Amino acid sequence: MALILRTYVYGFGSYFKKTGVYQDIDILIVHTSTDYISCLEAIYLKKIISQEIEKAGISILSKSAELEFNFIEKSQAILLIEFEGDYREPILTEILHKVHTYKKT
Amino acid sequence: MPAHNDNFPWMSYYGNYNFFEQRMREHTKVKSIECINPSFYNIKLINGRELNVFICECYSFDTAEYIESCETYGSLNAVVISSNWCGYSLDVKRHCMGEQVGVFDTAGFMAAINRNEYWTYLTEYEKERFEENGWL
Repeated sequence: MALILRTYVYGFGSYFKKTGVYQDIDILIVHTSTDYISCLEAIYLKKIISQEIEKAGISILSKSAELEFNFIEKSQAILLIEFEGDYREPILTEILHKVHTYKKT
Repeated sequence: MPAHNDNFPWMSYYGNYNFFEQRMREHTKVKSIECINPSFYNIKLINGRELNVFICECYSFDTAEYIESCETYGSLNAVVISSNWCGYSLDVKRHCMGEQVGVFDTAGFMAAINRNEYWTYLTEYEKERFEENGWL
């Protein structure tokens, strides 16, 4: 059975805490599994986001690793976008929009 | 977050791994250690084995980070997570064990290279979790 890829992109850290002061923009990509294809998709998305957000610090975790680290809860991460299937250009546009407008919301 | 660098190769705050190098030079099973670049070492053991070792301070090292590391350095024999603030997932530990690659913290690596099948070394905590998951 083909693996259905579902990806979640979160923001965390000082930028998303509305403190006004930040050094970088922390992003977390949570991907489906430790399957090679799932990892490659997440790495690709990380590279694409890095090219567009100069100060981005991007972490990647599979769903199971995220549960193990309890990363989202500990870092009080905020869901920016979730999508199914491969990366498509409108996804990046939406991520950038969410990140850049976050401070204004 | 406690990790100093969020992005590959997750270099330490000090820009070096002097503590790791020192411990390797003192280890009775290590013949020599060569720093290929600040994050990548070739370690020769006295049993003749050579290990390509990637070391980092990644806050949460998982399978994607391992694949990313191999994209840059080629095949690895071991990954060492240097900082106490940082860690690795059980998934990446298991995944890498399947490829005969060890994932450890510094103490774990020092213990692991005392055995021939160094990649099989598990801490007590890892043994318990692996047993719980039916992986052993």
